[in-house]
Amino acid sequence: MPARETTESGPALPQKYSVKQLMAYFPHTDQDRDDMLKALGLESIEDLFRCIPEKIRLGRDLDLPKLASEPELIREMGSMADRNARMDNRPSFLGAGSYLRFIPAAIDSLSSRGEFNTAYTPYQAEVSQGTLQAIMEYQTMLCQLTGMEISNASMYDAGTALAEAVFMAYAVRRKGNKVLVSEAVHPEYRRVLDTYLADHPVEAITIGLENDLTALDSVARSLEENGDDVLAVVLQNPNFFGLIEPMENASSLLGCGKGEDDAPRRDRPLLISIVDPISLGILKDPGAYGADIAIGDGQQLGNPPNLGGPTFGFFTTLQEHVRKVPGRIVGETVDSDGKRGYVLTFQTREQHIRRERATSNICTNQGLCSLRGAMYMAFLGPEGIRKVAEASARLAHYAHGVLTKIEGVEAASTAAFFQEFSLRLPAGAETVYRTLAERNIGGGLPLGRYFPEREDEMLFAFTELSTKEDIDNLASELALVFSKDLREANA
Amino acid sequence: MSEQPTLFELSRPGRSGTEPPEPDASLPALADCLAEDHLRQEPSGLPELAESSTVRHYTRLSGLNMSIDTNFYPLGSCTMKYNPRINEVVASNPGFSHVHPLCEDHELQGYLELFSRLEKMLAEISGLPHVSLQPAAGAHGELASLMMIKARCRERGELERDVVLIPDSAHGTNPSSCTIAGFKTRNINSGEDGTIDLDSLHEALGPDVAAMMITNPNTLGIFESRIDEISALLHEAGALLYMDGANMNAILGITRPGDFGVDVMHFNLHKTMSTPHGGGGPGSGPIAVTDELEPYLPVPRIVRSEDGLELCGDRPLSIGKVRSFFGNSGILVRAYAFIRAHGPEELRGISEHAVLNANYIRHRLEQAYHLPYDTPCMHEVVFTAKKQKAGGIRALDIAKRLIDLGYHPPTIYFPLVVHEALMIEPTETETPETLDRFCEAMLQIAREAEENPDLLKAAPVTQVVKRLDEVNAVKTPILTCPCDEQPSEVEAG
Repeated sequence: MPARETTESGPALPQKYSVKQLMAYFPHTDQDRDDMLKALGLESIEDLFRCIPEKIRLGRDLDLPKLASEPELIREMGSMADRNARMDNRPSFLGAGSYLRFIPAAIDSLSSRGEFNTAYTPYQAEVSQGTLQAIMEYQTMLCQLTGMEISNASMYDAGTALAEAVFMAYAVRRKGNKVLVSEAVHPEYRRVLDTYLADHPVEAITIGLENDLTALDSVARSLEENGDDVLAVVLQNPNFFGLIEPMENASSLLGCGKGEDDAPRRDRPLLISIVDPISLGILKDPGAYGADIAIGDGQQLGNPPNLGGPTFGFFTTLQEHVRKVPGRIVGETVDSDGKRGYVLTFQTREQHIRRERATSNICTNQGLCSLRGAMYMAFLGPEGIRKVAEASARLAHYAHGVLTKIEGVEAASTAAFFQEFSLRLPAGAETVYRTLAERNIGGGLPLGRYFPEREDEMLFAFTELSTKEDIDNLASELALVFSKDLREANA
Repeated sequence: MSEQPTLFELSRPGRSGTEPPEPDASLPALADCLAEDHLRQEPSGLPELAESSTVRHYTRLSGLNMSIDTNFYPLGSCTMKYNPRINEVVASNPGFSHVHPLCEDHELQGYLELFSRLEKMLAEISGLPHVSLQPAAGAHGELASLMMIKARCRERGELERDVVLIPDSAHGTNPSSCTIAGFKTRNINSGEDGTIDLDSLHEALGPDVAAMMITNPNTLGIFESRIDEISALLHEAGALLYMDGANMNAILGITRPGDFGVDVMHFNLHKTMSTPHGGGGPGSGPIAVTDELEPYLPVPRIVRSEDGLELCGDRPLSIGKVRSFFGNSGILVRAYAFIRAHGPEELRGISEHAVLNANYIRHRLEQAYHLPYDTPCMHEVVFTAKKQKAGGIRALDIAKRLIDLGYHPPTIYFPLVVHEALMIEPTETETPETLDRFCEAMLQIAREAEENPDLLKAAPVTQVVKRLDEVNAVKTPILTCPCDEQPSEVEAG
């Protein structure tokens, strides 16, 4: 396709049309414009803007680059893309909330269908049954995976889902203004929560760690000290360091769940659990240990890392809280013939109806990303997600064995982990990351970025796409680097 | 169009849609990795389907939607324009999609360059010098902006300023975002011409006002032509002016919020810059601000150093992080492509054609449908069903009848200030033939409202379902598909 021509010098305004040629993007011909203006009784396009006072008109062209044709755009943006480090063309061990996973090929082709991708929020239910049924199935599959009772249609990401979960807990509890947040919750999520709480009556109290696990003693102490002021406790499982938290102990500490002969304790802080959806292929689900709200990031369900976005946040809870849930929810109903259909429901919670008293201000969510999440769950099924989780865990445990054998390297924690763990290295982790990059290996996350006192620690993540060979190679490169460091130190 | 069974009804035990990579047999066994009490006792109850069945399922579901690709979609306030395919192509480059957010800055120079250029473009378009690309959607941009306004009040020791003024025609997200940011709201009435009533503004302005949120053109599709007076009034009172950028499609390259006194605004890239709506998202809601508000922008900021571009988190006055990692990067890539593909002239052309199309519809339908305001419209036009209501026909009935005639309905019952509102936004990418056919359909419906109202009340009859009972959905909530039952006999051929 030939490059579209542009005018050399800026056009002199005003003129009849600022777009002189027939541009590909607008379907209007000169004749069309003339006919339409004539019907309106106007001389020129300028006449349409008479309501805008002259003194605030721009009166010049925007100072933007001249338009680029498709081939020019592909070249320009391709060369920008080339300057980013990819995860798919070298072994990479970065995780910490964003992971490269196998995505069934059919997901790209189905989710890019214009009927899904170019539709709006399904307010007009009768012409949006495709989107609505897909969301209904998404809600159901997330409930199956998490063991929770209801799900919303999606949040922006896990960080904002956490903030909304705390707001919801505040609305459910109607008393207390303190939320206990484990230091092992992803630092990004905690920072988002801090931003959201800046002008909110709720205060976040950080709970410290023992062996990189949430110190439940501290939780118990804080509950005792603060009594009814604690409205919720936030834990992440596996936690930021990849470790499996004692969720059942935390749950009984709070009195969650329904005991055999014991009625559930209603007047208690809520347990907010941030979960890795893939881990639920093998790990105990939040429904099983009695979480009140289970949230997380859905990126791993069929979405590439995308520099952290767009992904989607998921939000699940118990049916009794439905009127406090943020965001859209789809429900089943019947049409005028009694036939099954789906609609957006409990809309009186939402901003377009309830305005300043809405449960959340969210409107646009992450629809297409959660659709990909639904497709992922459908294609993989229970067995597929179990296999993905199991492969990730087994590869990570193999790597743990190999890497901790390297001289000077030791595990940062002795606790059980899923697919990710932190190692203490005999050199600064940032330096190691760069050295590995020179050898075309994407290293793990230098933890000093989030925890200054952990600058010698690196958080390594493994997924089903990691291979034994890549892990062996990582181990031998690290051994080489450290032995060289040691030699130099001894010299 | 036939009903599609749910994934759970199609599920059969033992089927599988895909085979994930098989781990090396020599790896440690799962039992040696994790203790029994960490593991789930029962497999998750996800559906079990063959790949072919799942592909067919979603393909059939897609056919139950109206979309821009299939239908005229004049949903007011939502700017449902054609989404150029080139944007999808460039965004799917693995150099954008397969990039980890925690790479080092020097490994992200392509992304940071793109973001930096996009910030500059949005600054030029808005007339406001500083931009943050992080908010994930319009409402998220509103919230971030209000948090900044709050932070500024705190910094200046003006926390007694805890009220935000909101016109009665505003989007619901405006007051809702105020509450989260710790503000109370105070209503401002619309005047007889549909613009902000300055008397009402005078009355509401006081030392407790931190800001006013406007939409310009407002949600009636009318330009606030006294905007410079409004901004002067607010600034004199020590308050800031916020603009909801939902309607930027009307004014690109024609007038700029920064030039008419706006201090902070958000863009909806999924509206103005044509990134696909995705059936509800993802969007992107960058915010643009004055020099004075720049220190409060969310972190990280992009800064240029000797080594190239860097992400900077060290900003003492910043409100902090508004979401994990960066923004909805994939959407930012698409928006960049869209602006580059248009350049300054075509960008202005967008607004010219959007306003031309809306006025054309206004002209063709003004006899048959009641116009609540006589003021000329910009990119969208709000009618009401007042004339039809006498015969018992509501805006909802008109909307549903449009479905049977092959069109997605306009936005209805919004803005709240107009009773029985029908808000039509055609966008610039529709041909005059499409507009004509749509107007013919609307005129036909106006006739039917008199001659055969039952036709409207029974609509729609052409879709997979007829009119759905929303009340029943709340009264008898079914929020997940039944999955424990025996597989149904329904098989999707």
